[in-house]
Amino acid sequence: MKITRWRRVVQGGGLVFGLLGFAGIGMTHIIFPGLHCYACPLSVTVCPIGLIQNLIAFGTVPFYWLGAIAGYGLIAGRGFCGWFCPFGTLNDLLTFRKVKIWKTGSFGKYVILGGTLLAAWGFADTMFCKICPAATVEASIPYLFLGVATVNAPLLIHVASFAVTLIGMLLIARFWCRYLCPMGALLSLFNRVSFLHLELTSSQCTACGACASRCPMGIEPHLEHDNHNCIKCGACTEACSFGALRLRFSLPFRRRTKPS
Amino acid sequence: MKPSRLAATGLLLALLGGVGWVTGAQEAVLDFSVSPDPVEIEAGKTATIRITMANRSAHEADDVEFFWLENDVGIGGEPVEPLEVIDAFDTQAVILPVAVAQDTPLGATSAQLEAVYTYCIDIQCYQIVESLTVNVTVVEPAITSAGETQHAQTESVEIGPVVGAVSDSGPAWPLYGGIALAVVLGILLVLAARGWISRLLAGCGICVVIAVGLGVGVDLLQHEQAQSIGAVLCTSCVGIEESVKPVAEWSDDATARIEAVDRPIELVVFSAPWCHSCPYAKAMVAAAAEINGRIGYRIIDVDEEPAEAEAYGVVRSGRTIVPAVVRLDTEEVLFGIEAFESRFIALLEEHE
Repeated sequence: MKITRWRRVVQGGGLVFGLLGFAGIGMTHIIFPGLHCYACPLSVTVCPIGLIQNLIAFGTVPFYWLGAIAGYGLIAGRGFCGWFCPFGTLNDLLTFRKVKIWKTGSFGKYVILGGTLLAAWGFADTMFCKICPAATVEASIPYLFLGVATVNAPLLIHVASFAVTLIGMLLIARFWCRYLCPMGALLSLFNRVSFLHLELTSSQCTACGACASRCPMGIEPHLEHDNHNCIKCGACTEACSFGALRLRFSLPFRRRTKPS
Repeated sequence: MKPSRLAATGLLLALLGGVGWVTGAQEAVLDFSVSPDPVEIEAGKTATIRITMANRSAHEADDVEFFWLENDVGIGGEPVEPLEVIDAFDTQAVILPVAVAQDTPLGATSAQLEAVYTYCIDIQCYQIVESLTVNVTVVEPAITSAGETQHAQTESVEIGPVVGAVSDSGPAWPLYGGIALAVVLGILLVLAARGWISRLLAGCGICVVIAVGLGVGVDLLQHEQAQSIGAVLCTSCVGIEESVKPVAEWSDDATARIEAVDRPIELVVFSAPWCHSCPYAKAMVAAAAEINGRIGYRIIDVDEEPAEAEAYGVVRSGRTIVPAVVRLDTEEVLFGIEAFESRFIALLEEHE
């Protein structure tokens, strides 16, 4: 239980960090390491997906964005999905059915990432933001209650996209993170080099499959090492009675995968 | 402490601490710089200054105009035609004439120049007034052998907005550099699949990508661009108008000057229900009408009567700007609520 408890604390920290606006802080220069809408009335950080769309629309070459994303990727890769991202936390809290992942479908998030960037270029607008379910929770609904937004077509589109995601999440654990999240797609590229990673000691693995049954992303941690869908939440390390899986924090070249 | 923890902690601090000088500062929309500073002018002559304006926001600034504030050192100048538009993150310049009166004392002095422009986020528009200081060094007129002062050489310089000269399309290297950086990052990430040596190389390479990306990005002010983009929806955060409204009350001096108005003046106040500064403008005009019965006014809601705004000339660059106060007989318009008192008095006292 230890790792999950720690993770809840860190997730809480991510939520507080994302919503520091309640402390009267204005918008900062920081890019958030997760899918977190900058239009949220309490947001003090910039959404990386929203920012890159704007930069593409303006024709800016995104050095700052690239550096920040590479930095976050090197530190934890998709670990941010499991430990920090507020929308990931929502996915986490609505986890009921940890079904096996549909592998082909999990490449859908790369399609969405590519489509997001192409649409930003083609329409010179933030098209993804208009359907982003995180924006529904963090911007559309709050602004409606603040009296700034009204019930109109964009709001209904947002609500519809959130409703679809919500149903998906209830039926499939971390539905959004598995198949659709463009930020998860970006961070997943760094999963193989990130400091935070899952270590497998193959000699201790009995291939019982206990880890796979506990994985919210529906992957098989003992077979698919450094999988692009691994969010490093550590649920599998708790499930393993033989100590074959460990969550470790080490330099990229020092990570070990002991062959059986 | 293990080297991995140390390295990661360092990286995290560099990311969050180094880049996150958590300003929360009010973001300027236009950054002005005056050159030369100070400008050297012979007494009784005219020279030119170049005012460069960098738009730091994600929205365009429109109709940039300059007005000299009255001063007792005799510095002023002819107005030039307004600069129509400065695109998001663009830089433009205006050449402005500066005239120095014959009796201006020699030496260093300065005058205030007011820059007035509008800034629109979607359909909400604001007028922004910014005060600039122009430093002038007044020198003795050069005397020719005939005893006549020379013509200033700057007279041939074209005044007004500089066409295309400053509009900063930027050098080509950021594009190729950015593509190269992304390609290098991609190769490193693919490399990382093959054992620990390639992971070591990839790790080091990614550190270089982070350093170059953040370094060049901050150098190109992309962190401020990111902040501006994030702050766009929060209208009071971008520093375009105060979110706290002043109390609608005329000062004693202003009251006296309103009372002194001796002929009927008809005003029209343009307002919108979503406009945050309109209530203040309406209250001030209503109070002025109460002070002096010769001032009459009516209020037009631009959402309900959009055609009226066009007719009275409160549309700029295709957008209706509120709040606006129009004086019917002179057709003068007052936009926004910045320095409302003095500008309203000026509106009343014109042509008297």
